[in-house]
Amino acid sequence: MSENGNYLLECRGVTKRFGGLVAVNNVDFYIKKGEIFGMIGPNGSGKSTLFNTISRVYSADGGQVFFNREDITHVPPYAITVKGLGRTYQGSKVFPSLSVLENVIVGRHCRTRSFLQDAIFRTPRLRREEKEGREKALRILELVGLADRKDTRVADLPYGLRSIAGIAIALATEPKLLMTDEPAAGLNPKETLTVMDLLRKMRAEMGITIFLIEHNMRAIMNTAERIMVLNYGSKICEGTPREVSADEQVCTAYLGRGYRIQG
Amino acid sequence: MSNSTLKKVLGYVILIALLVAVPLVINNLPGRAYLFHLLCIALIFSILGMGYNLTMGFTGLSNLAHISMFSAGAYVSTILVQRFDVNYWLSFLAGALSAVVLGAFIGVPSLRLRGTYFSIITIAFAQVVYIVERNWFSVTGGTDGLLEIPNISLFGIDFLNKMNYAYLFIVMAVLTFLLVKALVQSRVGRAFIAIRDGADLALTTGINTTMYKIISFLTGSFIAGYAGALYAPLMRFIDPEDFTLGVMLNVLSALVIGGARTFWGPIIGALFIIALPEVLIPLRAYLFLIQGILMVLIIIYFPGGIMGGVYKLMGWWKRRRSAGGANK
Amino acid sequence: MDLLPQFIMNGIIQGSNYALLAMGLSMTYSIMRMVNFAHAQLYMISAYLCYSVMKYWISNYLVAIVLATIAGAILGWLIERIVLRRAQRQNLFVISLGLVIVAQEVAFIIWEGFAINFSTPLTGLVSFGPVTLTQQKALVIVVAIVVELAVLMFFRLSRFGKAMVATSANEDAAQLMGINAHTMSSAAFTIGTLLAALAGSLVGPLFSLTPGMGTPLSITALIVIIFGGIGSIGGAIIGAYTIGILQSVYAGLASPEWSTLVGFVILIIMLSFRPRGLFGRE
Ligand SMILES: Nc1ncnc2c1ncn2[C@@H]1O[C@H](COP(=O)(O)OP(=O)(O)OP(=O)(O)O)[C@@H](O)[C@H]1O
Ligand SMILES: [Mg+2]
Repeated sequence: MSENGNYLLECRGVTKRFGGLVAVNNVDFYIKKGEIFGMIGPNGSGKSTLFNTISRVYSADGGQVFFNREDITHVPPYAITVKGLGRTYQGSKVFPSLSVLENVIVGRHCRTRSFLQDAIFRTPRLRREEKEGREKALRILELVGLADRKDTRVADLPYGLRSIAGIAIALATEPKLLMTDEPAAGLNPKETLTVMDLLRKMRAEMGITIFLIEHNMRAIMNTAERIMVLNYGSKICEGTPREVSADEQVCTAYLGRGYRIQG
Repeated sequence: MSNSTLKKVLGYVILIALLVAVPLVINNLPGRAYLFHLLCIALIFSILGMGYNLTMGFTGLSNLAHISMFSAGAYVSTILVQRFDVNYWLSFLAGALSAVVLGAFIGVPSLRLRGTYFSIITIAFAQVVYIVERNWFSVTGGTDGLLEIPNISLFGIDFLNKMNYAYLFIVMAVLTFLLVKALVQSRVGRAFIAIRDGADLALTTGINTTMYKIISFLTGSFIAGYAGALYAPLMRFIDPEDFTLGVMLNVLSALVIGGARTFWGPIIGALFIIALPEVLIPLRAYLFLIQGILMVLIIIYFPGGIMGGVYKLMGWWKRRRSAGGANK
Repeated sequence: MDLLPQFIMNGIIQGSNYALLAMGLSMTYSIMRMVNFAHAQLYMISAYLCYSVMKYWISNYLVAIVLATIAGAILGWLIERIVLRRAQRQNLFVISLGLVIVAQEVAFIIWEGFAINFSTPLTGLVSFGPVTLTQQKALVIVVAIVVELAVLMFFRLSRFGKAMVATSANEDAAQLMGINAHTMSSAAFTIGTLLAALAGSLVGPLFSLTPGMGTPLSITALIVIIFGGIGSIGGAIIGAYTIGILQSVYAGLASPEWSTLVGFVILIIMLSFRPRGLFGRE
């Protein structure tokens, strides 16, 4: 059990290996309720793998993950989502053959109950849930600014909006913590701003804690309140954006690969 | 009532009228026994295809053991009727349930594997079922099969007239259509589609993907099972050659050609494979070849099949009309 | 009289056949990530071609083997160029199911469905200790061994073979090193079909020819590569002889009707408990 009741997510010694490669190496960190926590690191440093290990797409080879003070290291991924941990994927995974609205309704799966018998006999429960689901999904689309595209197939959305659709799906699962993996990758500066504003808005209006991976330094430095840095699978630094960008080790990690940190 | 609902109601009325009228028309044609037989076969393959569409199309599970569940329905219902004198309709239910049991036996271990591995293990299971059917002589009649399967009767009406079969099968096909449609358009069906579109995302969106894959597989098995229980009395004779991998490929290509992931695709596909040989008699020898070539071409260039094409055309037509309306 | 040595010898002949098929199937999988269910269809087509060449054109069996094998390889090359290259990877398996239908129907139209007995001049007998076999069977065993060694050497020693191994291990890295992925898949598929075609013209004469003869062999070849570890050539060879001998001994000692079950049961057990096969990694 975690001692600090204020921690929404806590990782202790989380490790993930692929054959001989240690993609995530003994990583410890915590995220407090209501904060925007950022993670940066060079390509291949294990950020996405850490996300996948926390959300149990991969199972950890070592360490423990606590969510809301509960050990979720061995809980199946769909059940983790039910507990309130939502996520998006790098490259904006969505359900491409469904419309934007249907994507969000699929996101509500874990908050609804209707089953085979409801579908076959069109029970009141099914009708109520379908109606409610539509309304709630529409509200989410209003919030993220996709309402006018609700009937477009997601595969036909421009790339920038697909990233937002991915966030909308996660939002529909009613998360307490939203982990989002490079939501601004491939977006232009204006779209990037929109996404960062959206994340802040979600925190402000819905009280959702945010865990953000982002390569765009300006964006993450301006959005996150605390940042941790991964290099070769290990955490090398953690602190406020100012502290992190001043850290020598961090600069070497990035400069060694041709990066420059700027706030 | 809005214009579009009116159109919809009108559509349903026409459809129902057609379904009632077709057997009546056939009844007055020469060679009606043969025509009824063809219609019934097409309906059975539609039902079988609709079940297959649920797993293969909507859930994206390339299951190649669907035909085994069809055979289970046929064999179990027939054996109950012939050996144990069970009422046909009870045997019908038992046949469908036995297909679900076989589906669980095959599906639960197989569904842990992904993609092509899943397809391969289902082929292996299907071959095991086929070999058992061929060699377990005392139960299945081996390669001789089961002969002289009695006719169905319902409320004292004997099904000696094939028109009764046609109506029965039409009713069953409509029920299956409604079942598949209700499922796919519900929370359960959206979970199926989510699994097909992205299994990992579905999982972290809170969908118990393993459970829903099994549900999809078992529902498909159930439909295949009662299709089999309908098939046996229609044919009056079944043997293992009715349920080979070749027949499975036929069902698969019918679905691909008709349009997987569409509600009408399996029906169009079944009509296509059953009706075409009768219409294009001079090309008969080449039709299965053409079917194979079409299947390959459709997968590469036109994944929606015939119904996908129809929907595209309809969308294009609508857009053109609304664009034209806006210009006026 | 003890029949066991004879059963084992039959198993080795089957195993030679499976090995020739499984090596090609394994290559196609390693390079293209395609499980080619139509693999043995080229075996079937070549067996028929070999038969037709001998019957209508040149009655020299060796010439017929060479012609049928080359024709099979050209067909394979064309299929890769015209069909497979245009398809998405995840669809390749279902496409191969379509190709099964196409190949079978073509054979059906050209050669009709009746079983054809295809006899070659190699009818003399050879004895190895307790077992006697025809020259045809001896030829199958010898050619299979030679081809297996050649294929293994090709991947170990030749530049091209090493490039193929690199592609199968990591396609992106191989491309960065200047290896052309298209060339590799074309080569893998063509070599694979060449081996299948060779097997068809060699083993075809041991059985009667029918359009449906390919499918069970495709399935067995699949079982073999899954048993041996998908993507491992050595595993495929060992798997081929193991399964050939197991089937033949079971058929001889227990029951021929149920012997085909042996392979499927092995496959189901392997996939359920060790999907990467006996010799597969990761
Ligand atoms: N499924 C996998 N199997 C094997 N190796 C993997 C797998 N996923 C990731 N890796 C390896 O693990 C390491 C970490 O990858 P990861 O995707 O987590 O990096 P990342 O920090 O997210 O990089 P990026 O900034 O490019 O997204 C890399 O070396 C990668 O090649
Ligand atoms: Mg990443």
